Amino acid sequence: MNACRKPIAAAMLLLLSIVVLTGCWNSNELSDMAIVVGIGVDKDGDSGKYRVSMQIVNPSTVAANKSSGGGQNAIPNIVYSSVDHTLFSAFRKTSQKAPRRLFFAHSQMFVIGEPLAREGINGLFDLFERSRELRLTSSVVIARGMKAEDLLNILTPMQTTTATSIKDKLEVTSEVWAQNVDTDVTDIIKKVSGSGEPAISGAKAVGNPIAGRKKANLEETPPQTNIETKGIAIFAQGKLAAWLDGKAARGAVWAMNKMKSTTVNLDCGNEKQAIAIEVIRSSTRTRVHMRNGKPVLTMHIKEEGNLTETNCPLDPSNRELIVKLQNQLAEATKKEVETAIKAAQSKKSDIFGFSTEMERTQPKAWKQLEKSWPDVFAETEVEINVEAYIRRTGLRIKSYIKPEKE
Amino acid sequence: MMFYRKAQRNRKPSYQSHTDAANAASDNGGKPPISAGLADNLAYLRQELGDSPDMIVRTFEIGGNRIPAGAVYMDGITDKDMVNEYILKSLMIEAGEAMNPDEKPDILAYLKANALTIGEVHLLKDWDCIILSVLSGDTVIFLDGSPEAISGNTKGGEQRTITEPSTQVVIRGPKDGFTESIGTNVSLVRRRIKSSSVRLEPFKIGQTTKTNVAVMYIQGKAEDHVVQLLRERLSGIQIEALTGSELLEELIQDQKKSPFSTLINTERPDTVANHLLDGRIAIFVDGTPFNLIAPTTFLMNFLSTEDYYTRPEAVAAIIIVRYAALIISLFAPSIYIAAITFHQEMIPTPLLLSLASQRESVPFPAFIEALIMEFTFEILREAGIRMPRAIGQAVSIVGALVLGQAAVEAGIISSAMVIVVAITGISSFANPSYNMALSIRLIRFFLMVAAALFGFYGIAIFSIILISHMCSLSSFGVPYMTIKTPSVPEAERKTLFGIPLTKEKTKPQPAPDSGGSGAGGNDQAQPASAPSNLLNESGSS
Amino acid sequence: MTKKQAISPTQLFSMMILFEFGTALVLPIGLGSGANAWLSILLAMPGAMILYVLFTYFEKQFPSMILSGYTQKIIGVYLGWPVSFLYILFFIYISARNLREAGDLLISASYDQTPIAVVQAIMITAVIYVLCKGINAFFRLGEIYFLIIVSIGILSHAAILASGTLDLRNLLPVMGKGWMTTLKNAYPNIFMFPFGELVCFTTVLPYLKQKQLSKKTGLLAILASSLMLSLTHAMEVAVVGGDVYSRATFPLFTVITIVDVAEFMQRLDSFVILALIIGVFFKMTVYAFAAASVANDLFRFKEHSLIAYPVGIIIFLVSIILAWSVPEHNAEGFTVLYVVLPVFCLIIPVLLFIVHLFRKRFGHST
Repeated sequence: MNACRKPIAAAMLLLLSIVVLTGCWNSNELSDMAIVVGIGVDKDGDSGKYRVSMQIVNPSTVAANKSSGGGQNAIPNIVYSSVDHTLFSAFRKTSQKAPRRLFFAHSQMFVIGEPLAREGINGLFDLFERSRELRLTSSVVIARGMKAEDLLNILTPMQTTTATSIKDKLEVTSEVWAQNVDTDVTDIIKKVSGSGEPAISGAKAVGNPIAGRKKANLEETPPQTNIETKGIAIFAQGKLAAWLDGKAARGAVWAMNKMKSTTVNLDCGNEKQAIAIEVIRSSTRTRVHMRNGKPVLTMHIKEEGNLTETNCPLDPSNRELIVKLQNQLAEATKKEVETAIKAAQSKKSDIFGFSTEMERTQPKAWKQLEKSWPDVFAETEVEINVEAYIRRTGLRIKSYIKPEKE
Repeated sequence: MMFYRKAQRNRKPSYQSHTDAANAASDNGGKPPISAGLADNLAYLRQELGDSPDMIVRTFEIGGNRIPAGAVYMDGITDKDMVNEYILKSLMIEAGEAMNPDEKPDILAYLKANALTIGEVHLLKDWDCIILSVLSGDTVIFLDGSPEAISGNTKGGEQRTITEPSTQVVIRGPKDGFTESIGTNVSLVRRRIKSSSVRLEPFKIGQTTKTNVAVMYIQGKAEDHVVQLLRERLSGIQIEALTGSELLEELIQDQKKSPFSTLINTERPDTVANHLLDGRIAIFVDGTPFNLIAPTTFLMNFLSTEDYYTRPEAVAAIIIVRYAALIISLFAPSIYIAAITFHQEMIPTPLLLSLASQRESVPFPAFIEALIMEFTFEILREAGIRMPRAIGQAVSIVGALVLGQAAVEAGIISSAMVIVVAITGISSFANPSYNMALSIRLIRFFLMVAAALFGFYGIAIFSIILISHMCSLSSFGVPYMTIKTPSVPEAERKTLFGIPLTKEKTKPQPAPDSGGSGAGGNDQAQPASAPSNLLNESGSS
Repeated sequence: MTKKQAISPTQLFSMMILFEFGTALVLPIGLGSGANAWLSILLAMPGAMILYVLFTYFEKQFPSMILSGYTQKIIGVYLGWPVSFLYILFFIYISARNLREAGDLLISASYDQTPIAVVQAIMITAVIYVLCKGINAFFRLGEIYFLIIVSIGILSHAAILASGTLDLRNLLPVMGKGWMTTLKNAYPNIFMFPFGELVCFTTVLPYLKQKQLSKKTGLLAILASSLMLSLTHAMEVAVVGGDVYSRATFPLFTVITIVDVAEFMQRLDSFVILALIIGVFFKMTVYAFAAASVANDLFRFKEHSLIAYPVGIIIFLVSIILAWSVPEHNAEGFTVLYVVLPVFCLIIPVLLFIVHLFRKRFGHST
């Protein structure tokens, strides 16, 4: 052991001196980095190139500690754009415009402009898989009826960057209203590499997008231009085929087993949609089995809800009433899901993952049907049964509303 | 100071020990033999000691024959009352009365056997021993016409009283601490272990200082090969001076080049007693209240004495906290540097934005900033030690709050850095062992360099090298890194990483005794004849 | 001061598991079976156990002799010496391969600007240092890091479970590609890597303090490590799906980037990188140690720890000149898997065994 000491010291000194001579390679100072929070992709006219926009955050405006620099007058984010054939070279090209080195590891939003989406999105995600910086958990959104760059340039209130605000909106609404779905890159890749199609939510600018670029947008309430999530885009062969809105969108969320919570309004006698049922839990099980060589899908939805609001006199202590409400709920759910499935089938777009289900449980049949799956899907019979329960009625049982005097 | 040692079978004579047997064999080391003339002897002694003003010579006459005699002692290190009462008085008055004028020949032997009412006397035959005796605080008595001298133990003088230990404070537990006198220290431990298996071996180390060093262990509990190794090492020390236990630690440790110390030092007698009962060996060094314990392992640095006096559940939780503190104090700055410069993707986005906005105004890279802060902290620490008590508190407040805050606002460092350094500093204080805290302070800087160069990879590889270094250490043959509490198989509780696992103590294993109560003073029935005079125990030494 | 070189069964157990984890934990193993890798691992386990029993058999027959020792005894010095020398080259080569893989992975995952020579030089420094300290320190180090890696594993698994990204249905269909593929994947692929590589431990077994426990400890280690590997790979597939798993160069890393618990425990990437570093380090060092032991034995060096330097530097240099790029390295890996490993890990030991039996039966002195 004694023999080892001197040579080791010498070796370590040598090693250290190599390092000192050439500098450290991967170390970056935070103040030299521009943190990218959102990326947008559009097609650039007809050149076949991509126009890539990167949204960079100004840290002093969104930091917790506001006493240093920035202050209330700075804009929270800036967007730089470049055009090139691949995403990665567009990133690097932006170094000609951005004052700092771009750092992508915190980018959580990927916006695709609708024109590009109509041309096909399948090839966009390879960079996400290979890169060590880009996150596979980034949410994806389609800029509805506009370019992604315009969407990202809209300033949003409450000191967040546009990308963050879109992502937050999407996260929350997909969980409480469920007419949008929070898709991330991993989901898309899984669907694309199989035989399914992705379903991506859309975000729309309400108001004038150009006016939204000014700080004045933030200085009034409500802001002149705001971004809202709207609808779910369904794809066929990687191209945007149709939009599902409203109840159809919600039905799709049910069918994809992504329903977390929502509110369903039921009729109360003559009053339309007077009762609000909050769905708190829902799970969808899709099973496939073969009948005469054709796949038949059985979808079983089980959901639970609470009675949260009613506009008409109700007495839930009456058991029949509850059962009736449950049936109504089940009916409403079934209708929405059917609408969604029909819409998807009309576009031959399997956004629900039925292909994966087939592959898992009927591998032999799948081998034969794999090639022509979109057509097979369009004609597959789907049986839906919904089991709905209403568990609680909040802190009151009987409503205070008196029945109208005849 | 001389000890009576029970005869040991394998004992090797230690360097410059004192016994009657050794006396006869030793030569004078080039000095003239003791002459028979009293005046010559006294003159020679005075000359040897350089005519020192604190050497007191009292000449007197003994007995009816009026034999001239001289008593030599050093002022200050002797107990004057003992000298006056028990030596001078007994020799001048009582001996004379009892002595038969005809018994001329072996007067010294007669005095030793009948007249000198001192507890410890030796017959000295060469100058080295005489000089050493005088300088140790004995009184040496020369008789005219006799080429030998008697020394009587009159050690005394001003010593610090037993006070609460200043560095290792315990909330619940005894509050006596060691002093600088080795006799007192040994007695403090003896009091706690009244077992006849306790063994004490003296050594004298240092050619100029001739410091007394004593080794104490419990026969049957301590491993023989460790004791033997320790003996060999202590005997083999050739050094000019030994003034504290740190130098001794350096001389007897296994590996020479390591930032980690493989012996524990402690100021508390109860710690020593507990470790002795666990099968370890205590090394007392005269002149310092810090005594050493060997062999030790890495885990023992995380057990404080308090753990012996606290409930095991609480101890388990607290030991975990200590380990966490160790990791924080070692890795916090490095992880911060690595995350900020290499692995920014690891930090949650809001935190990263906050840090980024802080670092906008800081001109230095993270590593330099960390170095500056750590360095400043070390300077503050050093200053805090030497600050007189009155100002000490103010300085720490000034240093921490004002400096840190002002530096942040001036844009020299970022507030996150202040937090990191503060947490590191506080965690290092949570370490029960001062030695370990020192080692950690040193290693932390290297870790920071490794982090600045290669990020987490650097930290990981450096940790591997560090831990493998620790794994190769040993303390007197016992490996330094073990998972279970080390040494004795009959340890009182099963532990893992020092954390007690079982609530009950395993059955106590008394050291092989020749009868009497078990080691450690368990509540076994005392035989009625055992002298348990409680008044004696609590009396001062 | 020469200490007695001895290791305890716990240390052997920890080291074997760390060795098995090595790169197998983080890479996709069993090229080809895709989603059924976890099953293939379990299928390969019995074979591994049998092979290990063979190694312990040699150990019992020739106590305190390592591989080169009893090779020369069984087939004579003139044949045995070159064969043992070949083993040195084999160990060095595989160690260099591991180093290269680790370097490539680290660079792909985190350090993309750093030249690979630097990354590997640092690792090699640590290896040389540990080798110098001797087998005692090394195995004690293994004990400690075993606990660390198990903690990392538990933490990561808990995080993945808590994040809700686990979907067991991703594991279906079990044996979608049929029995044969899964079985063919187990033998020889997984059987050779990582289990066949246990041949390194033939240089370690003589140091075990309680010799009679060598078999039990080893079998237990194989069982534990294959269970843990299988669990990890199953979990990887369950999270990302069979397709991504089979296309990824670093599936565990990909899996961990997806985990997001309560928004603060994101980005546990560094833990996985740490697990990789630890695993590869120990695997490399065991190989290097095996090479050093055989070299010491063959050339009868006096100062055992000095051989660490040449061995370490050679491994470093070999790892750099191994291959130009990762795909080439992987392609070479096929040859290694199908030719090199079987020869050294299986065929030679089995041949030795047969020759040894022959000699015993026909009364030649062993």
